[in-house]
Amino acid sequence: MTGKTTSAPRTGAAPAPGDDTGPLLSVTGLSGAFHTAHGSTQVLHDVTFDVPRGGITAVVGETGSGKSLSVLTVMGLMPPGLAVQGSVRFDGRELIGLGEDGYRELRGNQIAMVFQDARSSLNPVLTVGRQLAAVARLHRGVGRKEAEELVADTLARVRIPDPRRRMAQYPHQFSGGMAQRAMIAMALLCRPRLMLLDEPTTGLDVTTQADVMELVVELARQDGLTACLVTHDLGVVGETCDRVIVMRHGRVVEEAAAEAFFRAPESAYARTLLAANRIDEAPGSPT
Amino acid sequence: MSTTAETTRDHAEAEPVLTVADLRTDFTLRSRGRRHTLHAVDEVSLTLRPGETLAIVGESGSGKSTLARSILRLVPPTSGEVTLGGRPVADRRDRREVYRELQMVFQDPRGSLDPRQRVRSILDEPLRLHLKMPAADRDRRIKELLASVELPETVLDRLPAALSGGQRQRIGIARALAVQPKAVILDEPTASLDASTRGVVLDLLARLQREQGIAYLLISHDLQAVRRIAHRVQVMYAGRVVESGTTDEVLTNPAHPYTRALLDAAPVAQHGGHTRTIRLTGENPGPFEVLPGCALAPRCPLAEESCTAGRPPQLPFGGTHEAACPVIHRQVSADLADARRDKEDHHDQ
Ligand SMILES: Nc1ncnc2c1ncn2[C@@H]1O[C@H](COP(=O)(O)OP(=O)(O)O)[C@@H](O)[C@H]1O
Ligand SMILES: Nc1ncnc2c1ncn2[C@@H]1O[C@H](COP(=O)(O)OP(=O)(O)O)[C@@H](O)[C@H]1O
Ligand SMILES: [Mg+2]
Ligand SMILES: [Mg+2]
Repeated sequence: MTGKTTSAPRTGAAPAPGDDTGPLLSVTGLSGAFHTAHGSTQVLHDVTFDVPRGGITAVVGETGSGKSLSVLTVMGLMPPGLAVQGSVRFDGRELIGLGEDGYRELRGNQIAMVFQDARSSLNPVLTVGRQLAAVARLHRGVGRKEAEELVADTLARVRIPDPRRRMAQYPHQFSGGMAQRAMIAMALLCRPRLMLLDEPTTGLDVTTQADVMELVVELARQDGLTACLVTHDLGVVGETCDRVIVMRHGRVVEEAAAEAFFRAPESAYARTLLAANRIDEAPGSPT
Repeated sequence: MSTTAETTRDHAEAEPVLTVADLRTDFTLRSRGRRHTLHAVDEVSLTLRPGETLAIVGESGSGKSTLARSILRLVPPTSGEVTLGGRPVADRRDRREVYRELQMVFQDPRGSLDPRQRVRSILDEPLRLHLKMPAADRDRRIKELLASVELPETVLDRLPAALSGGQRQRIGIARALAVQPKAVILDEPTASLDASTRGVVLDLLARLQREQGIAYLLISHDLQAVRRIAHRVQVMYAGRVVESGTTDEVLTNPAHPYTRALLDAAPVAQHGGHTRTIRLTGENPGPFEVLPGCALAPRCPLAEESCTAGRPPQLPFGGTHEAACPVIHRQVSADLADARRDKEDHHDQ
């Protein structure tokens, strides 16, 4: 079984590279298993979904449903021991089987990723400005002075106040929300075509979370950035996303436009998830 | 909600299980050779009555956990008084005496359960140490406790690592209930759980409260959870209580700008979400600076000069509803006066 309940028919043949009408990212029949001495455990089952160009696509599901492994596979960042099969096409080009060099080129210039705990993704012993400038020099081929300008501009774009002062600071001097903005700035410095965000606001305070998500939406709307947001929070999806992919136990159980999804989810599982995300609406409480 | 109002009235008649009066807990920090005093809990008062749930709401760093730890004397409060069953906690010679009446359930059961201890021994310990129960009775009681948190006896011989997050939290709850306390402090009891498990654990807590009349001090930043099981709410910001009242009063008609911003920031699971109407500037700095006026003033879109002058008093907003914001209080009073005038004009005609 494919487990998919999408109503949108998939385009038969994959679009040719450079054809900019098809989805930017197409994952088809992706399977993944961890092989150990004790045997193997399959964790991704025939995962199939599209990320259309522009806008924000959400991948939602509870802990362990395979969200992170799916997006890590897109980036070529599979954890050791995970063997994958199937197809991941980015802009028409097959990524599965791409060598490390190919992925490196892709990660720098085409696809960027933002992880959950921003502060631990930053190097604690280097100033934030230095780390961002290194990325700018590598990916934009600019000199030192220019890189600094670029970093200051990008930090201002993610609405970090007083960017020059902030650049001289170390990661521990950044709050969680500021660190996450800095990571988004780092991703933007690569001018990616696709931004993958894995639980970027989990662990942040609710007001900070709302501010960071607003920034992501703004970047997607104004700059035509395509974003794929991994989250377990359907509230965040409702606020920000255009498309929803629901995963459960390593399978895609629903893929729909956000509007249709929130009006009437097709799968029983999605309805359960939605109800669980609206627990304050449960009847008869408190008593 | 009439049910909430009625229950709140019932609770109001009973003797409080726990009272906290003007509690302050300071931490002294050293940075760049200078000493800073941080009021993690700043003159907090609360009353908890049998069978009710009082929620303490606020973002991280607002002092919720320090409040809980100070009540249990896991950190020494700087000043103020905590009474349990009418007697000051400070007078109790034996901490075990306190634990028989007041227990705590922690956020992450992974950290609060000993990973080398099997479930049977986790539940046996409080019965043996605090209640000095004979072995035969303990065995029966352990099974009762498991049944009350809806777990099968097969988990008894497992280690915490072999349980799911929801099961571990149930064990944490069963351990707290073992001594039949009058009150339990729940510190973010569902924060580490998935959405579907979260609802189930909240319902379990509510049922145990109905059956056993336990009072809960629920510490949470999850407003949905609070709506679901709390009768009353106190909102904390930078160590201070900024708003309090029944769950309905506070969450349906929030008065304080901080409460409004908190509710407004909560994402809504519907397409297009919602439009935010009130925004605070920057992030919660925690109680790092001791400000003479309102702690929210530097971030508040409604702040006026007077807000930084002196500490705002708790002002009445009808019923049991109070909030420490003179600006909103003035607005609401003006609106009420307008409405009254409109009504009188209408009469005259
Ligand atoms: N490095 C790993 N080794 C073994 N199993 C793993 C590893 N990473 C993830 N898994 C397993 O794969 C499944 C999917 O994990 P993941 O994609 O991280 O889920 P999600 O991001 O949806 O929470 C889970 O059952 C998880 O336990
Ligand atoms: N043992 C401690 N020493 C110094 N500062 C502390 C200690 N415990 C907590 N704090 C500080 O007190 C403030 C309140 O923390 P906490 O009570 O944990 O808040 P909450 O539970 O609402 O997130 C924070 O600024 C925190 O850093
Ligand atoms: Mg994950
Ligand atoms: Mg806490």
